[in-house]
Amino acid sequence: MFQNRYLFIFSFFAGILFSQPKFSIGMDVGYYKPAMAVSSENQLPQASGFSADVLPGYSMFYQFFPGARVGFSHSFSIHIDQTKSGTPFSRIFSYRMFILETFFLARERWEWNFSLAPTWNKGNIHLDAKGNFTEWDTFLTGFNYTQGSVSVISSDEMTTYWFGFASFIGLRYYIRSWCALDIKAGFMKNNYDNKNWKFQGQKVDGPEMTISGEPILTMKVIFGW
Amino acid sequence: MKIIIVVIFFLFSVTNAKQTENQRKENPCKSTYIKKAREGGLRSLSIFEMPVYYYDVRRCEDVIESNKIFVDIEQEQITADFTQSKQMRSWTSSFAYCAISTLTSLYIELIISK
Repeated sequence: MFQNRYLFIFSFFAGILFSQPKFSIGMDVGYYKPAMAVSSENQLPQASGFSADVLPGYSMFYQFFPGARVGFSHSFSIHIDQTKSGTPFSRIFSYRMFILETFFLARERWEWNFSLAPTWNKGNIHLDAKGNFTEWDTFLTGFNYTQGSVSVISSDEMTTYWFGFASFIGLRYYIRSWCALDIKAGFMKNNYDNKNWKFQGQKVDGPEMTISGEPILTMKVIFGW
Repeated sequence: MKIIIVVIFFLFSVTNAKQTENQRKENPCKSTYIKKAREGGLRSLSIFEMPVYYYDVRRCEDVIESNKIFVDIEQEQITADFTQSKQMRSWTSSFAYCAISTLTSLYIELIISK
């Protein structure tokens, strides 16, 4: 039974790859304008430009019906900096969309497409905190080490997940039969809750962000057959 | 007896494949992939056949010093794609209306909330 399952999966994907394929992959750059709560009360560094508004990513699609594709798109908002107190900090928001898209060609090479996508997103804040641990100091003192305490790097992260929904209208131009440029205008609804973060398995409060409704613009380069 | 038949079939297919491969190397324009693309369009090639096809196309272009045939194959594919997808089929148009109305309502909601 177990072997049969793998044989089935292998045959399924081999069949798709060796038959007439309708796969496409794309590299994306998105632009949106989230409002991050940076204040004197928290340690978040100010994000701007690429780290705040730009969403690089990738996408994969499979055309399963004439005029319809199903796919997955993954976009990131990455901010690598230091906290106000100087601790190395990185923040990544991953927007993961499960897209259903229909399309038609208005003229040769010009395609209009329409997408709806539930999203399952992830937020991640990572700190490389430096501190002194009395356990290490006591341990080293046991070997007659008398140079004082040694700083220890303690890296950890807090994470959150939230559901959302996105809708897009796009215009695609086929440069070649296998390569296209795609511009999409859309909207992302996010059910982000700042009280839903987890750190070491414990529920904690995270940064407040106004991302419940975000207009978004994306540009893609698509390769497909 | 069965084993002998299997071995004969195997050797025959290997010999045949080698002959085809040699023909392809001697005259890239006679490549089976180019023939397949001319007859069935670019979409008839699989993902694994595509790179070999474009490799053969380059070599063939060097031999015949023209790319017209391959430009025509590509254009025929683009025209075929257009003919196949110039209209929305079945439920896809309803889905498109849903996407348009969802997007419009989300933008209206945003404007009203501001």
